[in-house]
Amino acid sequence: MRPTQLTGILMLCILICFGYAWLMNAAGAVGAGLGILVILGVRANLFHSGMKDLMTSLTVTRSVDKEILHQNSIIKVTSSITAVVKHMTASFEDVIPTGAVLVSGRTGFTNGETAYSINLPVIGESYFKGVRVTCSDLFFTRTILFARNAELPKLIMYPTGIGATYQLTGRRAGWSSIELDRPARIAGIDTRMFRPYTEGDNIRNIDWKLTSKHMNLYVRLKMDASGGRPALIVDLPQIGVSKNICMTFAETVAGCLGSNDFGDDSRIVFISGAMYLGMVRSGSIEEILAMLKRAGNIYPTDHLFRLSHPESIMNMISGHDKNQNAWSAGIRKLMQRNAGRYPSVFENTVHNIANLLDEEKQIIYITTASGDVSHMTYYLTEMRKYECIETVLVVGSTDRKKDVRDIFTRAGADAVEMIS
Amino acid sequence: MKSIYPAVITVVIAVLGAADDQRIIAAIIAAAFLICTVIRISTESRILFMSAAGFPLVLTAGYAPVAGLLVFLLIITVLAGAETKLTLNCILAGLLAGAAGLLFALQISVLLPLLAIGIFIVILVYILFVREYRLKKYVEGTLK
Repeated sequence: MRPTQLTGILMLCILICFGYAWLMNAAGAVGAGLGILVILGVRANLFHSGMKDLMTSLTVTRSVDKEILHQNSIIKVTSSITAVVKHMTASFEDVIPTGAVLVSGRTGFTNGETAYSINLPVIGESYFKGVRVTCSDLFFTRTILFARNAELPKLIMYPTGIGATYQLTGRRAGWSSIELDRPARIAGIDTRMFRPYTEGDNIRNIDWKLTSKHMNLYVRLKMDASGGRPALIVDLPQIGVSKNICMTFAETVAGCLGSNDFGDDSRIVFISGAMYLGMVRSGSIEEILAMLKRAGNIYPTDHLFRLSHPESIMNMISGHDKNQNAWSAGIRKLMQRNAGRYPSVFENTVHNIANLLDEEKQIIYITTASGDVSHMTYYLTEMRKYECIETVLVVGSTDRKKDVRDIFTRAGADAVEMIS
Repeated sequence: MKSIYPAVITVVIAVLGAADDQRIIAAIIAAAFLICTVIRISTESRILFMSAAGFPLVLTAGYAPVAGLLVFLLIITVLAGAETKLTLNCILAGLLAGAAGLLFALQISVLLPLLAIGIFIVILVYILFVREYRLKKYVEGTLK
């Protein structure tokens, strides 16, 4: 709290009064000085109360056009505030994150709103510092940084330095030298494979040794000892999803196949909700395209499919099923005893797919995450048992982005990327 | 409340309660004080002029109760001139200052005026430090 010019002069008056009282032994002068002091005290109290009321009533709403950035991203910020200002003048200014550079616009609020653009060259997570409030009345002035509930949204900057087109780097790109990952070798993963860093990659996967050698950022791709490829689980959108999303979805699948070095022999599992549609090899382009064309035309039968436990069927056929061997029947009985029921068709399917993909070290899921996503969480949980890296690409999710991210992360996804 | 009402009362009490040899000077200062209250100037200048003209009036008081009363009335007048809403707290602060002025004017003890100043300093410290600290903690963010 700083005094204004008026308060400064009044304090000088107090000093003169006390000085006069001391020199002339005048009791009245002390009273006079004390009187002015009381006025200033009362006003200080009122100013402080007004400022506290202002801070209590202040609400800040801020929105940005993107939260995940690369080094050259320009972020458009729109902020608005509401506050109750009593008996004082107040001005407000948005405070940008540490290290951010104002590119255009003004951070000062006019009529409770402001819009500006910034560039954030700081790697990692950054928050806005809040709103700087300057209050003043006749006697006092004060500038305070209001950060409570005014720091969001969180901005995450991943460094890039990578052009839009890049070449795959690593063993398959014909490198003369092979990077050996000694700790990984002990764990059963012998040769590293890399690709240039792209926006959204986990910074923990950046290979700093290779990065320093080539002066470009590269991320590690985990591989198994046999040099296996990542597997893809494609959750095709069902009927009702817009054509644009279907188009983005197909582009994402194609882009994923192109950028993650799937080769010709990787497994691509097509599902739609809880329905299993089939497994295709990554080299079978026509089959993949045929599957992708079904996107947006599949009628949902999730609930029936997921809930149909084959118990009744099993009961019917158990008597005359010649192929059912004793061992299989024993397992099913054991499962029924422990779980209280037979596994559903869906659970069996997921279990079989997980068994097929148990050698893969990286599973990439592509989904629109529209409606019920419990089938996806079941897949994630099941695959997690094999300790593979799970990445979920969510296409076209707009209104419940945060929820979807939370759900998948809790289910065990290592990375969830939103593509819209 | 309009500042003219307490200003008139202050002027009357100041002139009537002034020491015999200082009545003329008290009347002149009181007139200046009254003029400061009624003329059309900015609030900031008004407070400055009212303080500059008003508080020396206390020096002309001939009796201790008058000095105390003048301190109280001047505080009320200046606060009204500053367009402050006169709440019970403001009046109470004015009364306490008036009582302190009375004690000073009586010159009966060194201890009591010191006590009054001590209480006042405690209040100032509370406003400037304790409340400031609480406000600072309130506005702090949770994210780093």
